[in-house]
Amino acid sequence: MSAIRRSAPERAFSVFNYVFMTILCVVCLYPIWHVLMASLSDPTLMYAHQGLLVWPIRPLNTLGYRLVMTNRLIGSSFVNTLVYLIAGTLLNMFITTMGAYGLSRKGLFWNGVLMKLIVFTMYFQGGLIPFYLMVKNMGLLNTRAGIILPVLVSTWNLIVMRTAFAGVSESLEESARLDGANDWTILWRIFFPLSQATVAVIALYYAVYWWNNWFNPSIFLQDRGKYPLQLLLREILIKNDTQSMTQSSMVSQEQTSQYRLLVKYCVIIVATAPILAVYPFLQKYFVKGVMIGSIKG
Amino acid sequence: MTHAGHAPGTINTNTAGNRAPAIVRAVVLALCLATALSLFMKYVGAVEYKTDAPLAYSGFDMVGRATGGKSDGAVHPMILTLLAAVVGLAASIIYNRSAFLPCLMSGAALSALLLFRFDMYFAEQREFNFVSGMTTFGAGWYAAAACMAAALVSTAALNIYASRRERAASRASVFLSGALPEGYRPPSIGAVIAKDFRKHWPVYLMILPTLVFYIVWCYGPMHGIVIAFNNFSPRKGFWGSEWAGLKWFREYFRSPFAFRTVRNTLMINVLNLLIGFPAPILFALMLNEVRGVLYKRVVQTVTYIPHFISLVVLCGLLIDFVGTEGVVTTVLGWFGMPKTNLLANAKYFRSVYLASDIWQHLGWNSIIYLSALAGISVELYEAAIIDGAGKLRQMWHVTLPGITPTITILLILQIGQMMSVGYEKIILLYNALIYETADVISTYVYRVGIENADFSRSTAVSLFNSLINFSLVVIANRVSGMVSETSLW
Repeated sequence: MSAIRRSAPERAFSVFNYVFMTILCVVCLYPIWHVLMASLSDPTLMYAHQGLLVWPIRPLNTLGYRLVMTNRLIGSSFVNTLVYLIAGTLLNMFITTMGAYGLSRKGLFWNGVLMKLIVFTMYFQGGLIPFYLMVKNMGLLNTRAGIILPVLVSTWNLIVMRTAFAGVSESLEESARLDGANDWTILWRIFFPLSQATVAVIALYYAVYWWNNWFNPSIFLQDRGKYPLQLLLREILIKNDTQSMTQSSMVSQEQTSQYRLLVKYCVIIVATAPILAVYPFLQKYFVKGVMIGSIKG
Repeated sequence: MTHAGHAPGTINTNTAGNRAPAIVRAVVLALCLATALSLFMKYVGAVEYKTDAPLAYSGFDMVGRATGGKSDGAVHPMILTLLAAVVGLAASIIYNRSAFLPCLMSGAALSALLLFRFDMYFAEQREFNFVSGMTTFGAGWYAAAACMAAALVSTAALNIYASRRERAASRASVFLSGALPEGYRPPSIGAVIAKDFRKHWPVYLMILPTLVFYIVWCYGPMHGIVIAFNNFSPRKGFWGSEWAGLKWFREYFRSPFAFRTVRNTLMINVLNLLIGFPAPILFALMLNEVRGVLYKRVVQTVTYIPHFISLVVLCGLLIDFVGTEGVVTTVLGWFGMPKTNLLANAKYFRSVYLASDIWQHLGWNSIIYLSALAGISVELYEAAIIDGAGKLRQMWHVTLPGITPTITILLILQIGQMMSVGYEKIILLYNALIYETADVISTYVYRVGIENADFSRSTAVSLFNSLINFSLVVIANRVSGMVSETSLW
């Protein structure tokens, strides 16, 4: 770029730009760093500390993590989240794929109508209470099925997948049919593998939904044994209910309020670490997902 | 999107050719919306009723006192509304025309009008008197009804005419081509459906689970909307509960919550549109000027990270950070801000909400703009440089036009969501101290419905919200389609 001489204002802008970007990166990373450092600090000193935190306040302390890791509720909610995530995503993918395949076929009499009816639900829904009453009337309150069944298909994902399937070359389908393949085989042996990129992105979207899911569980579940992780986090982080955490032989009565804060920080790290650990490997799919999502269905 | 032309000699299957001009459609639509809104507002309480009027309807007398529903055994007015909506939908599907919405809306509005009259009639339990009805409703109602009817009839007539003409043309061209013998009669619709099903049943079987899902979980709750119009009691069920007419709407609009929640919803959205929406664009433009490839990738990767923090964790962090002694409060203290808990003070809520939103999604939302920027041809820049354009002029004449379609689409999507704020985040963040600025329509719906179990009231408010939302999507899309050829459907 040195071939073109840049004027003084341009150079000034360039410097400003780099400085700005660097500050932005710091701002994006610092909160997580802060929490990580705080979670390792001494709880009593941390309780009194205010403002920025660049290094942990010594003596280093891992009791917070031990409290979180040995907590039964955290463990069970983590398992619950995994169950919801795996079972939910598999069911989501199975039904969405079949639906998208069927709806992407040309020449079916009802497809136009069905698509219109489906797209309509993106813009108009029954609303929170009718939805809640529906779940209740079907006897699904406080069950795991009540968490999974009402969100089996996301319209947006269905449309994206349908678009991908509609783009698969027709000659492939024809030659498979000549060889005697039926729709089932054509879908799973040809369309599914050929649309791998989209499939991965959609699966990822569903998985992210399940990981972040707290709202529906919060209105449908009473039994804490069925709570997903995020709902438990809400109790700990938002409602400030850390009783179950700090009631332990490892913490004395007087220290409870100090450990409360520490436990919060540790919980944040424990709940965020898995995502940040897999994020670098999945980044390209996420980015691809934004692109795919931007194609209109 | 409409296709301007088609190859000569082919059968015209392009429905766009037969549509009424865009401006006519827009006027019909606007007329429908305006009349529907005025009817709604009139009924809901913007208009004063005479307190000595003898009529009682909706199970309520003229000043809103409950008289007890008396619509037992009669045709439920709601059924008429649903019926009209279904007819409108069916008509639009059969004729496959863009008059779908005018049809639907005018159908719904007309039936709403019918609803009032029937409602009054049944509440009175007496012979319906056209003259007294006339004077009660006044000329405005009839003007509105006439507009509706005219819109409905004219769009339907236009559609039927266009569809006839098109079918005749296609039949003529098939005959002319000699492919079919003289006297050929097209198969009946029943035969077509049966043949389609025989041929494609495996595919329909595959769609079935999806279909069941939509029927049960998307259309199922829609019939539950009826509870917005009655005094729902779980024991009596959706349709068996006492009819209440528009009581819940009236109460909402007369309560202080209506103004507060609508204002907050609009404020947060407008702020988001003015600040939150351009932020990623600006960021993408700036990042595009960074030359070091490695540095650029590092910045991208780092700014995406906050997007992956779950909402609950983010809100937990936020509550901690903006507390009296939190990190953010401390840093702001360096610049002279008083040290207070920002989430306990109504005047800071919007800033906290917006800033945290930008923080979380800035990098992520810029992806789409960055790719649009990457797609701009280098030649355009070279040509601009040769023409003597400086950096700013290049940005104005090359870069911005290059990403305008992307911006337009995202803007439509954004406007379509105007009234549906991310309520999950607000529910996690707000508290009774800051309801004044934080309480939006959807959080009010949540509080009333889920926390207080006041189902009917909550459903009424949420129905109001979705209707506004739906209209906004439609309007945004129409406007954009007219202005720039870029539309969602």
